[in-house]
Amino acid sequence: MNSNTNEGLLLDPGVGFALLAVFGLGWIALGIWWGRKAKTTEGHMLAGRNVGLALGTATAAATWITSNTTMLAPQFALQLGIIGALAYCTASFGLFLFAPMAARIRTLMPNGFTSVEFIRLRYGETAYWLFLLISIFYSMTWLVSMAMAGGIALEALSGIPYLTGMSVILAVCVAYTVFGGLYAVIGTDFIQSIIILAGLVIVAVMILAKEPPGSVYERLEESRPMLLSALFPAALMALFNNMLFGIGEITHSNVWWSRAFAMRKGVGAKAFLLGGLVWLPIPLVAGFLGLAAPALGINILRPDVAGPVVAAEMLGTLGAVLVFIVVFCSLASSIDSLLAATSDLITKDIVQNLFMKDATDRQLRTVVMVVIIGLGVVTWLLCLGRSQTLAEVLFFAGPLVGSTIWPIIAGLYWKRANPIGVSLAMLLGTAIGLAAYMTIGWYTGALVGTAVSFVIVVATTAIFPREFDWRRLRVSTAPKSPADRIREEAAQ
Amino acid sequence: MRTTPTRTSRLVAVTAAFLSAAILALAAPASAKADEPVRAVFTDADSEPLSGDDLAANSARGDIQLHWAADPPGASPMFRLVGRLDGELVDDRIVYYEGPQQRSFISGLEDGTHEFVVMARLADTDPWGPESEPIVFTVLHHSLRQTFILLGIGAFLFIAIVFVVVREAIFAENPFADEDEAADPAPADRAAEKGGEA
Repeated sequence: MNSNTNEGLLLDPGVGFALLAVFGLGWIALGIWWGRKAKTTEGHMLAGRNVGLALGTATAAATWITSNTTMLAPQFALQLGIIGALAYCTASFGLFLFAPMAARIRTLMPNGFTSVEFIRLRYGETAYWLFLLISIFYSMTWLVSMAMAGGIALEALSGIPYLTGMSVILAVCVAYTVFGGLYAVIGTDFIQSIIILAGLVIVAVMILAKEPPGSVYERLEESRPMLLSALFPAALMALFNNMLFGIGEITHSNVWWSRAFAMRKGVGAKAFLLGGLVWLPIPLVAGFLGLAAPALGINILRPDVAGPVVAAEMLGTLGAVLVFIVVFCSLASSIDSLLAATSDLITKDIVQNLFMKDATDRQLRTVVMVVIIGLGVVTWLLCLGRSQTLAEVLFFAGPLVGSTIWPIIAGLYWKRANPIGVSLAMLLGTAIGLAAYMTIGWYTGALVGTAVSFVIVVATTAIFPREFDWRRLRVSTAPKSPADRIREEAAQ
Repeated sequence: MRTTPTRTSRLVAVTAAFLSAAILALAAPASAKADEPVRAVFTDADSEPLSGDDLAANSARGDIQLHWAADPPGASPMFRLVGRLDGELVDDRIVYYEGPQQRSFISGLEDGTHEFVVMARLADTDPWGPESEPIVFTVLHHSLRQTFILLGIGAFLFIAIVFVVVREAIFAENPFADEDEAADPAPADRAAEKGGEA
């Protein structure tokens, strides 16, 4: 029986702080450097709508490799076994399905900014408010879960106190996103995706060489038989729940819509498809770590630290350093994306839409920066407590995002989707999905929310169709005329 | 020469005797306590010992987070966490953990009543101390009927989403096709042509 000491003794705290400092300062420097490209608000928010295939693929994969992948995939495997590990991989379908949707989004709204803007133009005010609340709530849940994951992982690996690790990661991401906007986010995503993939390949090869899957299987059979069972009920429930949660996250979230708007015409579909393929094997490697933990007798203090702790335990100091870097990069690549996308959403859909309709470009850019800092502060405050596991925190948003899948699909493709039906679908899908989360388990909320929403959207569209003029999407998001721009510049 | 004890020296002697007796009296229970094996008790997340109904738990997922501590507090022993499925022989108990840590996450348990006990010892050569009061953990996984209903709904929703998105991606018409063909390239595309990738 291995008597590991996975509470801060895997890596010297001094090494941990040194890695934090090197990578943190590196990202901030790159943010400032890339930020020089962003001359306008559109440049800051959407990288000039000129992102190509290589950067597009890298940003799709890197943003999807989050704390969810490096920390939640092992938690899935540890709690829900082999089926749980497979369930986690199904999240790649979100990227695959968003590929054709990204092309459609670019066609319908070539000059759009946010997903909320689409909902407002497509379905009107009621749906807009509901969708806005869901989007902000989800973004905050994701941000909080990742900042929490950062603090937890750094503490488990190097003994850096949770509060310090969480605060540093958050501060670094806020700093380079403020300076560089989406240029910095996509640029750092490219570097981070290369580091993450290289790191995970090395970790996977080292682990498989040390502990073949066959021996893990034999040891699990004795002490944790359900982890190997193909009929593990909670895991089977999680299978489609996780898939739908992933699809809901991507189809509704402005993180992905902003990338669809930012990519050059004709690039989006290919980039999301390739991003999904790059991402697909990663949770399998991460999930193996979760399964290996009990088989190797590694004591897991809480389920959401299983991945980093097992990798570091098995591979020694070099492994701990590698895992530290991979976790830091995966967190940064997602936190920055969320900060950027959520600040766009708040700036365009709340501040400009409600309070500053005639704001100049310079004013809007100031608002974006203030919002990014504000989001960082709110996230930090919410992360001060850490009572629940990552899965419980993140999947609380499952019913909310699940209920938006069909409103988005219907809005993009069906001319006759009913706006009232769509609002009802989001409202009831969320409510009934949350009831399932509370009464059955966190692994059912997204599934139930999606199902309820599907029934309502399809039924109301079939029974009470409402014609929509696609032209409204283009007219309302058309770029300003040269005369407007001259007036704006004169005002500045 | 015969000497008689003075009043002062008698007082010193009495005081010394009293202090010796007091020290012995205080030391006796301590040495007796040192002979006693160190115990371990299950606690909640805030290190408060569990007792009565708090020692019973249940789950539909088959996992449990356990916390324990030394009794008396302050000692730094090694712990041993063992468990068994109700009805199985004592010899079939599984050692889930041995070491200095004071919590563990156990998952993948089958249906049934599982008992966990924890014990402690101060040195590797000591025998394990007495077993703690057991935590009785009842696992009753979700029914397969409920599971397959949700699985079926999930599969149906997935097929429906794929069908609609793929079908529309192939057959949906671009409502602005004429406009896009006739118009100049969009400003962003012009910039792309001029400036290359972002």
